[in-house]
Order: sequence, then structure tokens, then C-alpha cells
Amino acid sequence: MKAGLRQEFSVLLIILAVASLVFWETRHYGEFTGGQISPGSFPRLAAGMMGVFAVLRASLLIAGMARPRVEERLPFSRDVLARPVAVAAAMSAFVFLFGTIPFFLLTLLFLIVVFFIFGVRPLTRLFLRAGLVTAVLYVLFSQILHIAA
Amino acid sequence: MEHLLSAFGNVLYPTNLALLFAGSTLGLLVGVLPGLSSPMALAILIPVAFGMEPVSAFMILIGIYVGTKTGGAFSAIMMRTPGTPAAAATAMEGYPMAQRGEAGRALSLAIGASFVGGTLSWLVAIPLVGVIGLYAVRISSADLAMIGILALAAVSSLSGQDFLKGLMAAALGLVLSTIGLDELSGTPRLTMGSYHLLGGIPFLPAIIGLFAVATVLVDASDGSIAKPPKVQNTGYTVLQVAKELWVMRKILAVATTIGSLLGVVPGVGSDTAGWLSFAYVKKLIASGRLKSDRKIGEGVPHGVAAPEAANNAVTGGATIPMLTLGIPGDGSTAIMLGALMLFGLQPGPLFFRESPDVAYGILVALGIANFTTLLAALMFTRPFVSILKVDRAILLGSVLVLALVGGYASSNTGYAMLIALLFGFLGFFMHHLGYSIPALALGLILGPVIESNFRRALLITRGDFWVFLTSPISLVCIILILAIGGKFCVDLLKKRKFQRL
Repeated sequence: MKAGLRQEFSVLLIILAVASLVFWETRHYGEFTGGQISPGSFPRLAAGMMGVFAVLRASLLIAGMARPRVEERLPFSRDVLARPVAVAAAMSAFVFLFGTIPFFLLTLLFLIVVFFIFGVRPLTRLFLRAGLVTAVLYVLFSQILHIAA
Repeated sequence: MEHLLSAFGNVLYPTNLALLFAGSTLGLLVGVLPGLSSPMALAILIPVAFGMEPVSAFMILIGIYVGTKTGGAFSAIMMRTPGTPAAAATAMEGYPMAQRGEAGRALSLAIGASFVGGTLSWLVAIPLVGVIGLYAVRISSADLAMIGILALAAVSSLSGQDFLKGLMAAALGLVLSTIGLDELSGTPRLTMGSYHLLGGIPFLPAIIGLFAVATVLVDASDGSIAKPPKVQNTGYTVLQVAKELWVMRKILAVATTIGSLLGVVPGVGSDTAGWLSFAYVKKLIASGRLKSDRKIGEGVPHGVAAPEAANNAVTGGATIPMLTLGIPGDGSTAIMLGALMLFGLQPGPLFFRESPDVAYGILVALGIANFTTLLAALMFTRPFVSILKVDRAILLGSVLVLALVGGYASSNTGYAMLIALLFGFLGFFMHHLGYSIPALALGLILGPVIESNFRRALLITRGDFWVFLTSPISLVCIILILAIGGKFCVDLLKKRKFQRL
């Protein structure tokens, strides 16, 4: 429960920081003048509402009128986060190498890594399926849609 | 009337009909596979459909939208794992029926009831769209701004998660929608000096990230990815099912009404309609008004037919506010709304006047899609049930490539792909921390609509904020928003009282 509260308060602080950043970034847009809303007004209104809701939520948590639910917590455990972090790293590499390495090779490598992360075994099955899926995606994106080369 | 007839001719043109059938088949497949959803499929396929004529592109998208509603029942019945949230209630009686050796009967009931619910809801939607469309042109800028805010409040309240968290997500969506050049003054806003952000957050890659990439990351954190499911044998008789559905016609009529009405309300998805219909059947059995030799949980056929009719009936209801007011009813219609804007079209009060071929085309396609989905389901039931054996890891890996390259395809820049990736991370954290992703997506889509109408209303009245209270529709919206807030406060107080006891 305490870990959940700590996490919840951390997130609310981040939300308040984002709202403050919006106010800071829009500080030089000028004021509302009879009918003409300045460009900064709507972002400030939305950010202000976001901040108000965050403060309300924090108040309810402090007053004990709301509690973080068990399922609404990101457990920082290896079991839960190892795979998503690995997939995220693979995706980041895909995004940054896209266009640099030929699409077929990049997709094949990406799928081999992702299937490995997701536990596809044995390795022969993994390589076969990665190759098959890569071929289908290559035909779709390179030959039919001409999106990737 | 001539526009409607012309739309029928357009939709029934062989190429468009083939595209609609292809979309229905794909939607059915997406619905069958647990973990894949209608918003995900729509988000990934929009870049593919972008190169087509708008009417043709929407044949595929509407086909997918309707197909997923039916497809979700397959895995719900065969594996007790709903393919889509809409089919969650179907699993309650569908799986026990399959365990009794009645998988074919359950699947046929689900397919037939989906067709009935979707078609009846569409028949009701056609005249309603016309009536609402007539009055929609009288809606002022102040009204539209307040309707948008009401939609956000409703989604936040009804998304099933904490109300304040939903509101925070919606507000974040509004903030993100303001990034870029201001529409009226051309001033850069919140761009942090970045050249890329001058064009704002591209909608399509953001949606792909939130619904497709985030889903895969969330699934990656679940331990049970690579285990193939157990699949039972199927076999079905269409004529027997038709007879059975006729006997259930009163229950189907009620379920269809529930789905159609709930479809109009933003934020209330097909899953709510399914559960409400299931609860209705439960009540009928408990009170003895429905005679059944089985108890609830033992495979009552009405418990399969009613939720499926209701969740498909949502499609008709959700289309009404999307086309006439430019307000999406659920996540899928939110993405289709975004797709319309990408094509340079503006759904709303003038949509049927300014773009009648597309507007009526979508309306007609929605109804014909029920027929193409029925045909696809009858043709492909056995192969699709077999596909349930495919390793989910393979599917998820493929979805990632489709999502990232689809994000790239939206503007042919690596920046779009990066947006898809970043929003995928955002969606992952939001899911785990209980913040509503649909609320954020709606905020992103409705932000420009709300802001431009808000500013226009104040420009017209030279800064008089009373316009939001003097306009009847705007006033009703404000009252409803306050009612939603009031309900939240009342629930909190009740909870506190209960805790004290």
C-alpha cells in the first residue's frame, strides 16, 4: 500500500510539473483582451485543469478518501519489467536504424530478437517463423505499398 | 433521399463491396485473436488506406469496425478469453456451452445475433442521423465546445477507471493537442524550439503508439505469451440457429435497444452494452420469466445471443454522434473521426451537406458491413478457430512491425515513427498506472475542435462568457457535466460513510 501511495504521489508530482512547464512556456503570449483569446490561453486552461485534478486526487489520497488500487501500480520487479524493457530497446533500435539498414534485414533481426524475448523456442522454430513473417511483411511494405526499401 | 440511394449504388459497386468484405474478414480475424483490438487494427491500417479514395478507404475501416465486434466471440466461446472487450460477457455462457459440446451452436448464435443486432441498430440509425443532422446545423460554436467537453467528462467517468485519473488523461490530451502553430495567430506553441513540433503531434502515429505499441508492451509484461491455447472441434447448422434466434426475438430486441442507446453515449463501449444485456438475461431467468432447463453459468444460449446483439448494436448508435456532431462514441469511432480529418473532411453538423458522398457512404457501409461480416463468418469460422492455435508471440511481433512502419508511412518521416514509439511508452505507463488511454486519445482529437469553437464563440460575442449559459444546448451540457461531477462526489461520500461503518 505504501509503495502504491509513493508511486501515485510521484506520478501526480510529474503531472503538476508538466502543468507548470506549460504555464512557463506560455508566459509570454499576452493576456486575454475582450473577445480575442491569446494563443497561450487554451493550453494554460487545459494544463490548469490537469493540475487542479492532480491536486484533488492528492488531497483525496491524503484524506484517506481514495486509495491506489493494487492493479493500478507498476511493480518495479524484474519479472514484470524485463520483457517490456527489452522489447522497448529493440523497438528503439528499429526506429533509429530504419532507413539505414535494408528493410528486410532490419525486420528479420528485429523479429528474431522480439520472438526470442517473447520465449519462442526452439531456435530453429524461431528463425523459421521470423523468416516467414519477414517475407510477408517485406512483400506488403516494399513490393505492394512501396513504403520501405 | 437521392444521396442515400446514390450511396447504396456506390457501396454495392463491386470494388467497394470487395473492399468492405475484405475489411469485414480482417476485422473478424482481429476480433478472433485475443490481444488485438479494433482501434489497433484501424490505427495500423489507416496509413494503408490513405492512398485510396475516401469512400473506398472507409469500406475497409468500417468492415474492420463491424467485423471485430463479431470476431471477439470466437475466442470467448472456445477459450473463455474474449478476443475483444466487447465479447467479455459472451464468454460467461459461451464457454460452458462449448464445454458441453455445443461450440458450433454457440458460435452460430453469436454470429447470427451479431448480425441481427448490428442490422437493426443500423436501420434505426439512418432516420435518426437525418433528424439530428437537420437540427445539428443550428448548433452554435458555444454548443459544440461544450458538447466536446461533455464527451471528455463522460469518457473519463465511464471508462471504468478512476474519474479524476480519466480527467487528468483527457486534460493531458488537450494540452498535447495545442502543440504546434496556433490556428488563428500562427504563433508556435509549446514547441520547445523544435522544428518538428511546429506541425504539432501527428495524430495517426500517436494513436498507433497508444493502442498498438502500448498493447504489445503490456502483453510483454504478462508472463503467458508463448503458450498456444487449446481449441475444441466446431460444427454448426445455420438453419437451426435462425429458428432459435426467432424464438429469442424479444430478448434480441431489448439487447439491440440497449446497445443502440449506449452507443450514442461517448465513453460507453460495447463491453458495457454486452454486460447490461447479460444482466438482463440473468434477471429474466432468476425471475422465472425466461424458462430455461439450464441455470446461469451452465451454458444458457440467451446468454450468448443477447450480449452479442448488444455489442454489435453499439456500432449504429456510435456512428450517429460521429457523423452528425463530430463527436466519437468510442475508441474506434474516435480513430475513424481522425481518419476523416486526415482525408481533409470535417464530420459535424455540415458533414452531410458538404461531403454527402462520403457521409452517406459511411452510413450505408455500416449496414452492408453486417451482411459482409455474416458472410465472412459463415465462410471462415473453421479456419479462424484454427488460427487460435498460432503463437501469440508471432502475432505480437508482427503487430509491432506493422505499427512502427505504419507510423512511418503516415508522413514518410522517422519523426512519425518516433512519435509512435514514445506514445507507446506513454500508453504502457498509463495502462499500468490506471490512467485512461481512450480519454487521452479523445482529448487529442477533440482538443482542436473544442478550442476553435471556444475561441469562435468568444470572438462572436466579443468576450462575453455568458454565451455558454444562455445557449440552451450549452447549458444542458454544463448541467450534465456538473451532474457527472456531482455523482463522483456522492459516490465518494458514500464510500467514506461505508468505510467509517
